[in-house]
Amino acid sequence: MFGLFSLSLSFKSNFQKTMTKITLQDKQDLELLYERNDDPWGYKNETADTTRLSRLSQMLDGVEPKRTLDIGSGNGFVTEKLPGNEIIGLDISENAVKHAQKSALDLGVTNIDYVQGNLLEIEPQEIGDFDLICITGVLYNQYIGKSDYLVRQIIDKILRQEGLLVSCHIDEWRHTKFGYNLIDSDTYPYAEFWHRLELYQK
Amino acid sequence: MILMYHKVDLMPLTEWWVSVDSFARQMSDLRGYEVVYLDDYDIKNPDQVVITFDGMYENVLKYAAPILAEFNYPFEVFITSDYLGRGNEFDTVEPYAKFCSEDQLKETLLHGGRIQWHTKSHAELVNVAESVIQDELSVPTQLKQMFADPHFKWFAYPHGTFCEKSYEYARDMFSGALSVEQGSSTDRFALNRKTVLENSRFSKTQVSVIIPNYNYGHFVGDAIESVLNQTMPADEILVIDDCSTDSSRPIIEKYARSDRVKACFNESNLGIIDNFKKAVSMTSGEYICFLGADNLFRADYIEKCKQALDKNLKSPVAYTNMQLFGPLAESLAESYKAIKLKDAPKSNWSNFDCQMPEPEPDFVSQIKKRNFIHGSSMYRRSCYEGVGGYLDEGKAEDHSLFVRMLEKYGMPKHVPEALLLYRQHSSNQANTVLTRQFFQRQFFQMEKQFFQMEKQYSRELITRENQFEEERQALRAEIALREKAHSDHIELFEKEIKIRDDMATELARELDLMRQELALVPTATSSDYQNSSINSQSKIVALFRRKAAVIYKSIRSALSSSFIGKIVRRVRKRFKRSISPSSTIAIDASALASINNSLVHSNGNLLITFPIINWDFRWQRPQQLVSRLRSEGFSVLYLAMTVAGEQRRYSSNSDALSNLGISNLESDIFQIWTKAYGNVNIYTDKISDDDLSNLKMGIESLLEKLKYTELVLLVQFPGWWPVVNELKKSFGAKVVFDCMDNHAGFSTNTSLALEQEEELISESDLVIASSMFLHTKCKALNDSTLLIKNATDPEHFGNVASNGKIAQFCAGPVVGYHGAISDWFDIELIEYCAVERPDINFVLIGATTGCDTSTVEGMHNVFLLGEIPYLDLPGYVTDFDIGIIPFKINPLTNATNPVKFYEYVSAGKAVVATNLPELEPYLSLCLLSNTHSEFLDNIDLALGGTNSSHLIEERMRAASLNSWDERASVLSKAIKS
Repeated sequence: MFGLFSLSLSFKSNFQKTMTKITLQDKQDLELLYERNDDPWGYKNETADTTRLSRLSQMLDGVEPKRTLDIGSGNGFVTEKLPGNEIIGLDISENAVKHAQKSALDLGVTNIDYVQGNLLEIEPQEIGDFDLICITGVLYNQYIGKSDYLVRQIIDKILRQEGLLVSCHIDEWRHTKFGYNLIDSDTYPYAEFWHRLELYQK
Repeated sequence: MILMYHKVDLMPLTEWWVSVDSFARQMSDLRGYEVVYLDDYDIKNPDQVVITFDGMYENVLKYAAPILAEFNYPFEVFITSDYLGRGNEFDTVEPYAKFCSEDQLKETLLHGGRIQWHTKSHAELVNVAESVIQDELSVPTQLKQMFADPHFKWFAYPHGTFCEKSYEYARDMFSGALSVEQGSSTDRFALNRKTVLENSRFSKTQVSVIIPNYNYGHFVGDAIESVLNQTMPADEILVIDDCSTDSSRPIIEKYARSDRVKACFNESNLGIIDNFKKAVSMTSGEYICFLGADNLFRADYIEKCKQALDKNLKSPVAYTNMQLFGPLAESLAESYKAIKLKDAPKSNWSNFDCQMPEPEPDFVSQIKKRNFIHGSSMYRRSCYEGVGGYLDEGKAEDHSLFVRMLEKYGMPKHVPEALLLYRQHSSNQANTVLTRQFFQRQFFQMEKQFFQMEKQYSRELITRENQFEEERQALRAEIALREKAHSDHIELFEKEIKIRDDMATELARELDLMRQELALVPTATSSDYQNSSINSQSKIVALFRRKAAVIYKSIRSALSSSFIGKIVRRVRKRFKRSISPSSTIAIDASALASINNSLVHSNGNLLITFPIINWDFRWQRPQQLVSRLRSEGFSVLYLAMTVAGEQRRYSSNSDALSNLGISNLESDIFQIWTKAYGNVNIYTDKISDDDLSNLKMGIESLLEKLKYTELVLLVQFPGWWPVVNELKKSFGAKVVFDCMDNHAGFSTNTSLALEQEEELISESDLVIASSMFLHTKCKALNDSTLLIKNATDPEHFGNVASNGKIAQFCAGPVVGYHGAISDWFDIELIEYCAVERPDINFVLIGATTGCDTSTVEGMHNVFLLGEIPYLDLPGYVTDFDIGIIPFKINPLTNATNPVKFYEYVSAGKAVVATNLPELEPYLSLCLLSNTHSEFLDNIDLALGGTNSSHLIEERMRAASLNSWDERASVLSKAIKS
């Protein structure tokens, strides 16, 4: 749904300047970005992005969930590396979902199901509950506005008791904190910013 | 209180919009109130609240209604029937938003809403026709059927405004009506409402979070952020630092730049109780919680604890479970039977949920024995004050506080979630909460004691210092008194000498009288004498003479061996170098006799020195060599550098002689004060013909009277060359030039001196050079050139007792220098070293001329002592740990063979120097460097243990091979050969 994990390096500076007066980003913008390119922010070739992927993998070492949800799965860059017997990748962009599906097909991955949808409109009865929820580069003002409360409510409805929640965001930008036990956290440089990676247990 | 909302959405776009987060927070704030429908609203009850929405937009249904349902709050929506299911295009200044349709209004009812009337078209009902008012206030039948009683009983004036007519109609058609500002809080048909904005808050209670910190600089940032990142923000955050000595301060200051965090830095360590009390007094929230700077709050700590206290008005304190984390979590977890959570994969430690018991009655009675309310529990300020706050009772301060609170106010409230993250990071902490607090308290008490002791000692120190200072002043006064008495003694002695001298003169006169008598003997009339033989006459003369000689000798020896004589010699020696021109005397017969007497001892070898400095200037190579040549069998005339003008040409040699001055410097060394035509500065002035005539005549007239056999002219400065050249020609004297400086390198020398020097070198009979560079230079012009390097006086510098002066102003290692501090001195190097090594003292002895020392003058570890007499110098040098030669490398220093090098070595000191070519042969005795940092490294190296007794001996032995005695002996042989 939310294609931006975070932004590509060249976009970040301009983006930060506009952070003060944010309006919500139009879904159509994201569709356009994904129409032109299957990797609009160049994650696959950026060292900083491969680094964050390995940090995330370290955090999830030994975790064996039955059901996993990746919120903001984009082109599947992170989703493909997540553990889980059954994985759902959710993104707001239909084009992103198409790219991710093609990538999964190319890789021969069969346990990931990519669907188009909005985090804030998730229907718990439809999507079910999860042992692991991964949310990376989504919880910024331009995507969710000021609705941390709502995000926490929704996540709480679909995260199983003792389930894990992993969140990874640029620390300088505001993002949602969760009222779960904080199992571990990690910070590391990400381009000119710092990433904060947090692992919660419900 | 009636609240008025319009739109609730993800982002607040104008002041009529409230974000989801703010709305949720405001609903949470209302927990302390009773939220009711308008029908149940009691105007007089200040604890009642009604929530109203004007217009009923889709976003209210989507985002606000579920939250209202969750809080179980009733609410009222006021609709305008013309726009149901349509946009707000009529509201041109507002961003687009869509109103609910009829179906969506029905959905609203499911969340607890009631539908009320807001007119058909939202027209302002002021001064319009009655028919319009009536029409706008009428609810269409279809809607009325759809939403029957209790709906449509209340009316809200569009834009909040009304007139007499619209007010009357509202009163007739509805059970109540709402305005915004035009109405009042008591008129049921014009009730005012409060417009809710994005940042409106309604809570009756505020939360103050206090983070006490002491030397947790590496944790405190995380603690502060955990409070800043709460789902329900704290109303006040105070970080109080109890005089940390680590990096805490800048970190806390960084957070305190935001207006959300307040910081307080105690000027002295208050200890835990006083610090906590101070912190509480600095905050104002009704709810107080402390967070240790090494711990963290979970994101929902404030939300959940505040809620617990809001709901349980009688509970004085809300306590939570704890999550244990950190490298030592496991050991504490065992004793608490804590439940294991997932391990931390990155940080590589275990996490535990440490669950606290519910406050059942027996637990409360047990709390005195076992604390289950941790120190970071949230409590009420009123209860804190009611039991007298934190008390110093020798128990854990928070435990004691909570025990007293429970005794007085009853049951605490348990929040059964691990909202406090309790870090286990050091061995003295991996224990129970109680023991940890106990030890911490003990630690703080000890620390407090320590601070008190420190204070006491520093007071005592100051007292003793004052005492010491008084004693010192008393001693100084005594010294002054004694010195005065001493000089009085000297005066007495001088007087006595004078008396004895007079006696001697008297005796000499007597002797003369005797001689005269004797001379008269042959012409005497006494017949006895006349008749005596020549033999007897001569016997009588011989007898008289013997008698006279015995008397004379006895007087001299009595004088010289007397105590007074010794004192006088010592006093003279002490003051001999401060003899000024005024103390000179004219050359009379007795002066000439003294010189001639000296020449008897030196076998007629006379050496005239044309000096580079006055005898009484800094004691250097010129004086060192000349004073020893005396011992090598030369009588020495040492010219004064000061050449005054006679303002006329001498008419004759006797005229010239009578205008010379003489002072006896030491036995057999005489300073001769010559005069020229005008005043001449030998360093800079050209000697004119008239000047030359007088100078030449002066020296010639003196030489005429002296009984010398060999004449040597020792030239130390080329400026004398014209005079020397004349004398060489007239007397065939031997000219020796001591080339000791590369004059091209001195900023004060003129080109004239350089020209004269070349001529002097070529024409000299012998040239001695002080360094290899000068040796090479001179040898090219004159083959009779000899290398006589600088040297030291090993007896003077070696094994000298400290005079204690340096220790008076500094402690610690001493890196010392003595000698001129002039333009070749690398002051930047000193500054660099002193900045890099604040613990090392840099003691610089010597006059500062031509060198800007202002950069080091303010530094705590650089001491400029000024010029110190050569005689007193060893008493300082002996206190050096290292002697340094920080010279810039330039033409002057390239030619310099530094005397101080030999002097340092003879004092047994390690030497650190810049890369002077002349020092290269002595690499075993000094450390040379090309850069500032190398120089500093060498200082470190030298301080680090090159001062073993073996090395000191080695240096002193090397120094004994480089003594001025040895140099003078070589020079003497060369002159005589």
